[in-house]
Amino acid sequence: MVRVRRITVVVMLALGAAVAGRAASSFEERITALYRPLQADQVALSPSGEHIAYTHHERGELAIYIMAVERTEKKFKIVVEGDRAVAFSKAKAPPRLRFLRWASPQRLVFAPTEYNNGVRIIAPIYAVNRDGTEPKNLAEAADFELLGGGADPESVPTVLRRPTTIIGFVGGNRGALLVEARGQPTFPPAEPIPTTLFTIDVATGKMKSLVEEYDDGRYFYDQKGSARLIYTHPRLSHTRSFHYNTGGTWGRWLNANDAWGGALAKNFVVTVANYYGERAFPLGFAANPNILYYASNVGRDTYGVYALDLATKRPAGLALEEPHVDLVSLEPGEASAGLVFDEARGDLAGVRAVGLAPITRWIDPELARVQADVERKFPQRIVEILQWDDARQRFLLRVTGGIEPGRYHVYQRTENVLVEVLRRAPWLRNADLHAGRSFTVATADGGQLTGHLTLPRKSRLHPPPLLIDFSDGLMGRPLPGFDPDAQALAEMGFIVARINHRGGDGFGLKHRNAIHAGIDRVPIDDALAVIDWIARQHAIDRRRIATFGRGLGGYLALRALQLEPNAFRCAVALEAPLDPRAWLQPPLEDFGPTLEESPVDTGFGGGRPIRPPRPINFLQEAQRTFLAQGQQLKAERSVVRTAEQLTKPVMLVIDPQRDQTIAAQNSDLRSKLKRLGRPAEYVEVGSGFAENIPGARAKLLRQIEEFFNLNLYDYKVEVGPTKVIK
Amino acid sequence: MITARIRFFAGLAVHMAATVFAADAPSIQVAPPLITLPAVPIAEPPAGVTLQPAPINAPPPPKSAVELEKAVELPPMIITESSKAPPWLYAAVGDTEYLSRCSAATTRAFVTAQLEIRRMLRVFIPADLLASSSVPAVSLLVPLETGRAADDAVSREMLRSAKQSVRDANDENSRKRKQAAGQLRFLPNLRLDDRDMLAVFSFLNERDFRRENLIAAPDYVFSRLVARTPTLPLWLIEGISRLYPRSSFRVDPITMEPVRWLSSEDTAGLLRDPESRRVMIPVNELFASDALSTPENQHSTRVAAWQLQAALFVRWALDPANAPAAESFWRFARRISLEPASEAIFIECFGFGYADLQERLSDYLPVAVKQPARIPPGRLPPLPRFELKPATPAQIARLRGEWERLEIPFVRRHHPEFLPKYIEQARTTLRRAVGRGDRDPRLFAALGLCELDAGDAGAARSYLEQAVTDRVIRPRVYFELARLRWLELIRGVPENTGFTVAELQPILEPLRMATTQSPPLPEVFILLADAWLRCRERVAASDLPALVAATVLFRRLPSVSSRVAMVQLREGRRAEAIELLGVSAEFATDPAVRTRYQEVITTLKAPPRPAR
Repeated sequence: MVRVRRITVVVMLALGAAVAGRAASSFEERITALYRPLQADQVALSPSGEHIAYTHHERGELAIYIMAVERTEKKFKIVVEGDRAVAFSKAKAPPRLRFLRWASPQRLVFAPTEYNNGVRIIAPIYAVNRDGTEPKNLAEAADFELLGGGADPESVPTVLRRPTTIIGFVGGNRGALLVEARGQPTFPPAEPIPTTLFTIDVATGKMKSLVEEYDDGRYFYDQKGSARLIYTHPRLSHTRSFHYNTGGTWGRWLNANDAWGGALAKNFVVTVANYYGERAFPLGFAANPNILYYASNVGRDTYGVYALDLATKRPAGLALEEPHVDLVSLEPGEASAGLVFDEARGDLAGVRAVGLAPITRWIDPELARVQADVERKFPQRIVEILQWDDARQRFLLRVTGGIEPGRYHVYQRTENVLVEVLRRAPWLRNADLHAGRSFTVATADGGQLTGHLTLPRKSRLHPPPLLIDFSDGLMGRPLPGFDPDAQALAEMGFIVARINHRGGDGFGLKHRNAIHAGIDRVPIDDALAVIDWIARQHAIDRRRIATFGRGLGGYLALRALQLEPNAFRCAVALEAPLDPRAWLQPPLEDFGPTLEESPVDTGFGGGRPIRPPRPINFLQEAQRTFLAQGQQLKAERSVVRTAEQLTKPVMLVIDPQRDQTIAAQNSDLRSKLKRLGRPAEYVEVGSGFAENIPGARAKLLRQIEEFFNLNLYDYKVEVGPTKVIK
Repeated sequence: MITARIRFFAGLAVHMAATVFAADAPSIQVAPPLITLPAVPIAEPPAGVTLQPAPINAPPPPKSAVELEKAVELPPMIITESSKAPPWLYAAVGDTEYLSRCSAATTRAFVTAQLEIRRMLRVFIPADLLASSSVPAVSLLVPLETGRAADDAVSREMLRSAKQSVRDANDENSRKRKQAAGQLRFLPNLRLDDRDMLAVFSFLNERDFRRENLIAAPDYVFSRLVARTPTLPLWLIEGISRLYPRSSFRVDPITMEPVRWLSSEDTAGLLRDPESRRVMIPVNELFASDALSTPENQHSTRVAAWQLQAALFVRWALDPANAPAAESFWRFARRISLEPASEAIFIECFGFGYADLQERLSDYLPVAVKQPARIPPGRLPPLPRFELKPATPAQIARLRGEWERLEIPFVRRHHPEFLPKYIEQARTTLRRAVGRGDRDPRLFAALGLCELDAGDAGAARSYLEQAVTDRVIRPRVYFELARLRWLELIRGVPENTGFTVAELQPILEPLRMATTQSPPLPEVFILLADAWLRCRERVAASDLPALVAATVLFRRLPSVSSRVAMVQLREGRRAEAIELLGVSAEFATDPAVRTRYQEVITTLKAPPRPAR
């Protein structure tokens, strides 16, 4: 009898092990699938609406597929490039395209992103017919190089390499591509390397130089390829400004203020102090080059988009504004990507913005109608009209939101049907993903908090635990609807909340400036407000609320435990800088070795060589200036120095290869907690995690799940009474 | 003598719409009858309202899967009695009365097959979602064997042609090495529907009859879905009807074949590449009442996508791989037969929204084109027992008479040149029984309806009166009697002249009886509403709730709700009328009707104009 029982136990154990093994494998597979790179990074609809070209990364190479929209045909594949080697790593980086557009219903133009291979820049631009005929290498990086020489006329000429930017097709002529070869200043001053704008014939590859300019900065061209504006980038200045070319043969560059005068032009100045404040900046030109589109939040909370007639120096009758969302991003030049032009007509059709969800404010009434039509077709989804055919009968749509990483449809207006042409992640089935929704919570001060919830399909507890994901940090951009981390954490049974907390970009000045009340207190207060709101909408276990974050988000996750120990149960911090003061007060600029330290530099003559200072990191200085406006440096906000306040379990994840300062801070915190008798879970991840390799992510998430199993799902742990957080 | 015109398709035999046909033979269908009613006068609307009730006829459903194939036009069979003919057998089981001239074994096998089919069908479609009737169906069986079934020229011709087609088909298959000779089965049969019952005539070839080869014809399933009350949405009817013919029900488990998408290229593309393009329509438009009714919605690609997507949704829901979607699906179907479809209802039933469904259907499509889906029937209830007896002369006369009178409208529609013969035959069969002293109210009902179908309302009246007096279970009989009385009452009376309740009582009484019987007939409620709209007095307390309840049963028939709304207005129930019109507008398939409803609602909501 005893023997029988023993055998039964053995068999059951074996079965249990098999089941656990299968479950583990299934978890790894699901997690790995979540982090696979999405396909169709770029998609282009042909001018006739008959074909789609899209990118797909498979088996270590980037390919472009061309497929028919109207009928099912075999797709045509163009292999672009194999994965690129990564320095000092076994891993390889997938290449991407920087340009993919149709020059005609038959001819496709594409270009992979530039990269350096040793001393060479690799930057080809290709064109090919949709059936693979007439392939042409339109240009290579070498086509944009210059030969330069030193001051000594006897010296051997040197090759001056210039990075390139593909501006797009010439307005009204898809047969000509505009490519800018970016120059750079020289230090010490010598003959500068010019910035040149070329047109390239997409049929023959013939190149022609249109414009050559010598100032350092970002140029704004009109639709015919004339350089009309420059956004200067002085290396050592905390101020950047715009200069306008008056045009004509003898066109001169004038400061925008001198060119246009008036209050508006005075606002066309960018400093580290006003970068996150009130200002205005140009976006681009209409088909009529005298019409300038610009963004401004002067006298407003959010950025709107306006037009100025440069000939009359008067407003040109365009004013697009959103009450809670900035219609453009903050960086001049990048923000211009939000302007949507009709390729066939050259007119501004609308402006894209990123708020809680991507929105497009259409100026073109027909497209506004189509937008309303397609939104009705996809309730509870975000629908973006990306492109349309010249006849405006077919519209390429991207549908995202909810739990969906994204699908592309072509809306065929004549037939009134949708053709689903692509899925960004066909390996993820809707039925297997966790449901998601966006939310907007009104705040007491009349503002609003937005974010995304991911609701687990199954939870181990009822009501389920809640996880506040502080994401990437303090001044981030609006969060996307689909997030693999949120899906992975929901897989562990959490309701996952991601909040566009105050201090972030994209929701206006008031929202951003609120962070001055405390870089830790404000996001944590936002999290508490959202927890209250979630508790009114969904049953949650308020005794089991965890925090999670990466980078400064990890810092917030730990601070939440310190500041609100009764509200939060445990935290996971990934690569978290633990002392914001260290970030806000950087070490003094390194001007190179001293005379004594570097005899090589002193040279035989004993004279000190000129050593150029590093250019100012304008964006970083702007962030520091912005954060320094508040009370950030006056209060003690270091997690390490207040380690004794950390009474709840924490998991610290660091990549020692990536940032040694962060690694040292986390190690320090770990030691302090150990001395306090509260050992932290401490995990060092390898390079695979930083490089976003799915397997490495899955492994870490398994460890995170074990941490939660121990510290959140351990039913023997006394969690104490629930407290109402005010 | 009747001469038959029989056409054969592709060397195969004739199959008319029927409840049964051979499972391994292709079928040719007759379109199901639409609801056709005599025009009923409409009362004047209340002052300030210019509501014009929609036509009484139900909106035609979209071309269904079962309508797509060409119908065979063939006059139905006339059965002649002869001393050599085998005796009739009778059985009553389930919702059907059987009258058979086949052998007892064949008849028993046939009836058992019918019961099995219905049992299996209910695994696929819950019984409450198919139409039912308290009037039993009639099923006549006649052997299709040389010399025995040759009752008339039609059947002789059918037999000869059927044999020829078997030979042709087998020859053809032998050449193509497709199918072994002898595997083809042909079962000529015909179903004729009345407003409240149906009858089927089947020839059985007793020598090679195998009950496991019988299935319910798609047209039968379609007709049961269309006739169900509360009325079902078009997409559901279409989806099931399209899926049903591509499923096998006589084997365990029920197997739904792989889906064919819009074109062979599309299907092949999805088979080859699960990420192949696919034409779809948004789910909210799939469920919309005007999904195909406006000009911008009628492109052939859209119509085809709508039909296929409806079937895909049904298949997805019933596929056990997506459990528990089936329960949610049927719950949703029941809800939206009563309420306008909305995403809120959908979420209540499924736990996710329209966009998620759209994505799940899209994800499911490559699976559906590739693999069959199997539904295990689970533990089936035992079949009801039945007793096969020699038929009495009264049973023979009533059931044969019922069939023969149903042939009259069919022949009038398709072969008017043969009409007198068929009328004569039906009258002879039924009157002979009455002459023998049979006083079964069902016989009088059949005779009354026979005379009506023959066009002799005067002769019909007395039989109908007798059947009603004897409380027959035939809702149509009550309606027809009320209609005849109504026509008599309003004859020569100006349209703006009202009647008293006493004057209307002979009309209201049979209509009230009809409302208590199954199936509920929309024309009953329409006439009831029209009668009250011509009444000078207030509506009886019991009739108004009955009318309002009928609007729930016939949400998709604007003619019911519009009349009931007018009755409500007449009774001073403006708010209820507005609400009813609002719901009806959401169910309206015709945008013009919807617009009209909205206009009326706007008028009704407007403050009353001050008196001058």
